[in-house]
Amino acid sequence: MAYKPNLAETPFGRRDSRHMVVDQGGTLWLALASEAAPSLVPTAPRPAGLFEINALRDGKPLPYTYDADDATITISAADATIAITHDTATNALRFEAHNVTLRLDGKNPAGVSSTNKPNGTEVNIGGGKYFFIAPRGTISFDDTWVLASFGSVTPILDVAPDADGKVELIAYDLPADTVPPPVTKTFGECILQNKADFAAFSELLKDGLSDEVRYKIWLNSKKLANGHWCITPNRVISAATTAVQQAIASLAFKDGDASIDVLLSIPEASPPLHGYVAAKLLKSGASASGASRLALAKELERAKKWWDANRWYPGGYYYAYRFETGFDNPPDFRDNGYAPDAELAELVALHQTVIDALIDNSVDLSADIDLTKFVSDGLIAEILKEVK
Amino acid sequence: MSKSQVKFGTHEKFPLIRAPFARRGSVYYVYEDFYKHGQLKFGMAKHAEMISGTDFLFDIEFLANGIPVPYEYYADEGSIKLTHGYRWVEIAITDRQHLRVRGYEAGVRFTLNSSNGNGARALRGTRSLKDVGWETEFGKYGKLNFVPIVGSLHIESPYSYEKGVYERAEFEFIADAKTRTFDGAIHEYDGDELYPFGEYEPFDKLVADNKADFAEFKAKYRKVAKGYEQAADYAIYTVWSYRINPRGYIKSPAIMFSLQWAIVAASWQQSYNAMPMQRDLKEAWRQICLMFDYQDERTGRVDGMLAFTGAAASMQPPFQGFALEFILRNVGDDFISAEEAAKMYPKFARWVNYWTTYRNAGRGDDVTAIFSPHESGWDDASNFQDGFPANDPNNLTFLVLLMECVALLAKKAGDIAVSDEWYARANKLTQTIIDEFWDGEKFATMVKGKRVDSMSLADFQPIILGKRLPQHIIDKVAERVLAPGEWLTEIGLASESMKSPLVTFGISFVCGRVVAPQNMIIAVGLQAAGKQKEAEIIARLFCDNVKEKGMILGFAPYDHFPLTGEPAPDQPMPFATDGWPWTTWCANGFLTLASSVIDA
Repeated sequence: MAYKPNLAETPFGRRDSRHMVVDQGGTLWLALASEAAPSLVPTAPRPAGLFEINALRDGKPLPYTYDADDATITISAADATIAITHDTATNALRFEAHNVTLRLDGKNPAGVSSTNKPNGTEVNIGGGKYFFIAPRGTISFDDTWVLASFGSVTPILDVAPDADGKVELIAYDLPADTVPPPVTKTFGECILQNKADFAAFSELLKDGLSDEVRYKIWLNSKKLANGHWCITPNRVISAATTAVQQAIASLAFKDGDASIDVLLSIPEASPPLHGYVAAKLLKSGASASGASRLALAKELERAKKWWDANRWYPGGYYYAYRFETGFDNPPDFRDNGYAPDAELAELVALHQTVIDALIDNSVDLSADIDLTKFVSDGLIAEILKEVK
Repeated sequence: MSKSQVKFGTHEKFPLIRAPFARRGSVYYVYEDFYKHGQLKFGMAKHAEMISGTDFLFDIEFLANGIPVPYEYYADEGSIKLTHGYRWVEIAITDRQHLRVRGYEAGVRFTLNSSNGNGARALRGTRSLKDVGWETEFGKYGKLNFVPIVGSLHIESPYSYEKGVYERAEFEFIADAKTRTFDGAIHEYDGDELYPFGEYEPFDKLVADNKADFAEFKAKYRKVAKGYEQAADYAIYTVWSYRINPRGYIKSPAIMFSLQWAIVAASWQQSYNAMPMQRDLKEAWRQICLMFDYQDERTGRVDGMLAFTGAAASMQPPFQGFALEFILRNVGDDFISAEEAAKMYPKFARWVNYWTTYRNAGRGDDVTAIFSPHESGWDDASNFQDGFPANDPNNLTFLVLLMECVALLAKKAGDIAVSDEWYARANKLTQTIIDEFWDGEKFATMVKGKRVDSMSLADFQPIILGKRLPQHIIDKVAERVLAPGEWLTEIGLASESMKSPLVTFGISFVCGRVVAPQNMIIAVGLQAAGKQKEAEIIARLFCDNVKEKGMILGFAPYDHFPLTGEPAPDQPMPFATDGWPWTTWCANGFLTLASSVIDA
């Protein structure tokens, strides 16, 4: 069940990996999903694509076409090929090329610092850090430091083929001071592993979701430091996500544990959708482990207590600020209004409904909240369109 | 009320254009707009955005009968007072996440005014909390709560439904009609509750307490040489007011680089700050050890910079040994107990071993190879013009001193065998620095076995090895750094020889400018080597300039390039490497020089 993403719209990638390949203007670019981190001074933003992928013959780029599915990309240029896949065990993107020099061209030196090290080439570029090793072929890389720019020259990595015309390149995404782990799987084994992972992940999702949405959910799945999986709304622009997005994204799963895992990835904020979404999950008959149900109950209890303590006024529950409604600019909202909100009351009440239902395993869900109003575009909106 | 130790003001030597009014333990600051003189602004360091690019900044307007009028101001360590004729407004900051503001025959208005041209966009809502005050929500910037204690509060925050933003956000404290005074508070917080602040003490008591707190902090420092006392007060004020309480990722009090620009606690700067704190050795020791609370368990690496939200991905030199050795040389080691020594020496050792493992040059010894200039601390020093990996003798020198500290601490802890091993390592590395990196004129950085042909001041930094170096090297370093026309200028040592074609006074840190940390390091090194006279020359030149100009990180020594005679391009102000706001990095360098080098 190979899915072929349109790389001009959706990156080639896989879950829980920052590596991506995107199509910008007809050529493929290597990219890394960005992670927010503090810095001394603000740095200028970079485009999503960090290295343009080129196939060189006699120093000149060859025009190429490519074919991409959920596990591999194959680039064809004249009589040459370049194949790309993920190696999850090593957190690397692997390249195999034949009859051509593989070039990764950074195009722009801003904010780059690169170093040729005895065991490979390190490039810090736009918030990402690559470490390149070529088990086959020869790397050429200029890491000249430019004093006045506080950085290195434009990073251009060439890997010339060996005597057999072969190139193998490993692009690691590693934390600082980490020895690159050796690859143990063949290229073909990596492809199979990626396919199997996508297939297994897809089994957790509701029937009826399109292949495109399945792929995007898998691509955008990220494991947080708290151990939960979340579904980021956009892998390329931002890894940021919200509790509301996770609540809606959890509806994509038919597996109860997977659904609750995503639901609980970010503590409930506002509007309080967790109870409603959890009620829909229970009503669907999805089974979930005792541990998942207990965790869900605890979070709902915590959240309800917060609403009772901080957003209840004689008359009912209220939103204190516009953004708490889930909308940037709700037309009826007034500052300092303390206006009771009927739908909010319904949502909060559902927390207790679900906590009770988790005990006796039955839930009476009459509420029908229109969730589409809380998301306008992106993957989360696509999920909502397709789930029943 | 006790006498002011520092003075800033409209008619004072230093206005608040480059130095903020702030207080130990608070993220608040008030400063005078660089471009619109006479306009005070109020901001917060918590969000870590520079004042040149943040939506969270307020204009402070002085109101007479409700109308904004021009004002003058005077600030000391206790409070800042704004005046318009006989009318006045006074602001005092607490260390309990709020400030107090009062006035007589006046009002004050805080108007949200983004420095990005976004007006009041940071505001996301306001509401009354009845008995507590007016809560205002600013999204990623957190919340403020405006509390009228005497008088009243008026808020103007019209919302445009068409644009989906607040058009204005004005928070005005208004005097009580009878008493003609007002008194209020502004709290900052993130969650649902105010920080537990106790009670609103009488305003005058708060001011007195602030002064007493400053005086107590000042007592941590040795007296400075005659003639530098006033400047020392400004330096200590800078350090005191940039010292933040634990918050977010930062687990213990730390001293920020700046509150308005580089809003981080830089690793090696914590040790710089320790060096002059010789009357509170417990605090000095805490400062030196502070970063080890964040030491990586796997590698032993110590983070380079701490922000409220986390550690910035960076690394800075292993400065702790140099700082501790300096203190030990001045006051001895009695202040380090056997228990403390036992606790800390393994951590120091892991930090040394981080460098000799993950930056090892692969020679089978402790010589390292660094991968970027940031690892040396000198971001654009010309000794790195040949690139990386670079065998930097300065890194090795810091490691020698850190190794000796490990040895000393191990000895105090009773681990004599361990101590002996570390001394042996340090001695061997010292000899390597002398034998391989000294080229007869300077300590040369090496890249791929070749000496870098550099004219950087950093080439003399291993002088901090002091009398471990042979006398001929000591003499040569002293001779070279003080040779006319090269590094020696009227305001201290320039970071690059004026005979170098690479000199720049532009967007640059250490490729020409006279910068505080290098002057301090070289002077302290010369002193340690027995060259007190030379050390003092440098110290006085640098400190005399800072006395006049303020706690600024780097100075262009000339308005032209001496090598060519060409004028140096005008730099638009403000300017990051000029240390647009005052920095603690200059303050601590000044204090070390003025208290321990001049007249030592």
